[in-house]
Amino acid sequence: MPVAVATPGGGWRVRLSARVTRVVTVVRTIVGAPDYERYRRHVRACHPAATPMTRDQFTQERLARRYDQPGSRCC
Amino acid sequence: MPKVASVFVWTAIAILGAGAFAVLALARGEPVSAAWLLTAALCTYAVAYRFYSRIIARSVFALDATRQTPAERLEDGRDYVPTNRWIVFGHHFAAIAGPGPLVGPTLAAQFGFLPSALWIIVGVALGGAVQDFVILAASIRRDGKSLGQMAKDEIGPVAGYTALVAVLGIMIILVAVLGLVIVNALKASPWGTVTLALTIPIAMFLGIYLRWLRPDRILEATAIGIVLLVFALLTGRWVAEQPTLAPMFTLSSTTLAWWLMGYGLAASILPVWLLLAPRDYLSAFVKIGVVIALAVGVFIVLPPLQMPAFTRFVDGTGPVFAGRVFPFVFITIACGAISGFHALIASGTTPKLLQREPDARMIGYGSMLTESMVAVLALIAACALTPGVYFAINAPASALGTTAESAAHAIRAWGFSVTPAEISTLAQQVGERTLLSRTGGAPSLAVGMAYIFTGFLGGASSAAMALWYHFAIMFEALFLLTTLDAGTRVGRFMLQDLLKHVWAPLGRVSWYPAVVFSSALFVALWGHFLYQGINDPLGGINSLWPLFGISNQLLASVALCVGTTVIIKMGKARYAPMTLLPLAWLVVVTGTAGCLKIFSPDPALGFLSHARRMDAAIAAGTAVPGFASAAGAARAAFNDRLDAAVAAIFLLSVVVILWESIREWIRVLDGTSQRPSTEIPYHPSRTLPPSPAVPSGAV
Repeated sequence: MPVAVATPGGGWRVRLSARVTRVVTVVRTIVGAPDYERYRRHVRACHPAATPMTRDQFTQERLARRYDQPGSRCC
Repeated sequence: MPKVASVFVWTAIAILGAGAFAVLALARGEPVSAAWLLTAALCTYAVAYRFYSRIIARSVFALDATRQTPAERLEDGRDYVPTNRWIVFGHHFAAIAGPGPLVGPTLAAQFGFLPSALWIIVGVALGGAVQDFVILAASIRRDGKSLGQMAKDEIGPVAGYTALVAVLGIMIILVAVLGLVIVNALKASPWGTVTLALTIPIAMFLGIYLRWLRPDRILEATAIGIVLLVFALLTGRWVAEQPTLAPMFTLSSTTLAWWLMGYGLAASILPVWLLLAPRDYLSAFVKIGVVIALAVGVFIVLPPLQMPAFTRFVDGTGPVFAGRVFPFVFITIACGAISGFHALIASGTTPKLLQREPDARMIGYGSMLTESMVAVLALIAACALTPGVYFAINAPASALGTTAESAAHAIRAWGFSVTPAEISTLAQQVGERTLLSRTGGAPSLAVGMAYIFTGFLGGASSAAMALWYHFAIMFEALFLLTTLDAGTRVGRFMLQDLLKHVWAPLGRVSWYPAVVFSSALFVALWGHFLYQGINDPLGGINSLWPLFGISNQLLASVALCVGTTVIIKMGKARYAPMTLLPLAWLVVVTGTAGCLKIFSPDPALGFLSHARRMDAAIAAGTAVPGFASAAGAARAAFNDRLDAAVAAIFLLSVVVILWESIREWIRVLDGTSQRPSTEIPYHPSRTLPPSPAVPSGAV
């Protein structure tokens, strides 16, 4: 599941980049941005025979889904 | 914590909260510090969260960390993704936070700060947060089903369809009223208009950037967008200073309304990646940033509340909107205390993200408490203005006249002190030609925010004040416009879903003629109400905001009916009063307010009596104040009747839902219900608690 894991001997650069990646993912999830890496990992792990959508297809599919139902935003 | 210490701490918190309420309630004459209001709110939230929400979590739903959530069972890497609870909290809060809790308390401040404060704080603890939590928990136990689907499955098909119609109705009124707030914030303001207009090409640039230049670099694009927003703000100021350019962007309400309708249509038709999505990201960051800044500002400045605890307008003669404190404070506050709309989100994206069942307490109940805090902050910002200034900005021209002198005269007659010089100096300070009758709440909130920001960031010069004012206007308008455009698009989809029963091809979401037709139809529906609001001599807020409040509470009634049904079907009928209590209150409030808006003999309040007065004046051939021609007055009379019909439809929906629900409750208790609970049975979670040290959603 982890994208970038700080290995014990990885040095501060690796640790910093892991931390940045983590913050970026958190912020992206909060604003509801699609997470392609996560989707691809899921398809690979759970449906190895299936071909995942491309990044562009995935983004389009997610956006279309988000803006066609009332359950994603509020007054 | 040892038990004795815990009892001691919670007793202290309760006493502190009660003491703060006492200070607020006993304040007479002298301005009270906002610190008391904040203390009362925070202590109540803490006690309510610790004790009241625990009953729902433990005794009603028995939320169980070992039970599989939909995110785990149906994980698909897209909708269903187990996510760390703090991230889901942020996501849920960002989704429920809208302009409602900012505008509602600002308008309701005409009654004084106390009625609004009480309802925001008590209403959320016993109503709004309960609703959000119960619906979230119910949806988690049903694979993340939507509110409409749950209404259909648990109560019956009639309730399901009523919920669907209610959501469509609320969308129309919501978009119209938000449009009206935008128009009133931007009319005759070249600075604001240019700034907001520039956010549209900025969003499109970000859309192109995200699609073609640097795909998926959302944070990078948003950072660029925020820099460009500052540029837009400064460009707006520059334009407003140019004698040739400024008049071109000094637009009338009507022109602005047409632009908004065109924009709504475009947003509904254009691909989402080009306009809606980038705007949404930008708006989410600005929203969270400004809410935090406002909170920090209020906590540091702790402005005194200039508004009295109660004003004379509790008797219903208020200029901002008509109607007595009961029931209209409850209708006007809207989203800060209880919002039916949240039930759509609590049964939308959020339930599909929860990693563990018990997280629902913090996310459902906790987010709503946070939203209520935003409403308290907005109330403080509005009440930090002197009442004279507040009414100069928020009362319509029919009450104030059109000059600073006439306004000061009218406001002094209400018993508040203000001079014409104060009114015009303030307008100059914030860089506007006039602030008189800028109804809708956004401008007065912006003035309040400008005061608070200059208070804690320094720069009391009028240049800084003007910049902060327009920053706040930009923030509010960006925020409102982002709900308007996405709302139009959602409304279009809902309309297509209905129209397909009339003619199947109209339901095809990728067939261009159907898309354009249904988008135009939806824009026409809200556009009509917006246009009517602009031309209403009583100020459109007076008719539209109560309709919005009623529709939002209608949806909350639907949600609480669903919640009660779910609780009864779990065999927990003895806990049903937790949802029945707010439901009963909402039915009383909505019913009274709806009937008053339709039937009140006071023409300022009742739609029908206002229409009759118009008719009588037209028939007698006398001039109708506020209208140039008899035809205009006749149109207004028609619109009054239309508003009355809309209110009647909302009330009828409440009755239908309630009737259907009560019948189902009786059947369940009799054991004759044909509709078993659709709750998914217990499956043990594969990732047994305690939850992993590394939050899985965070990496």
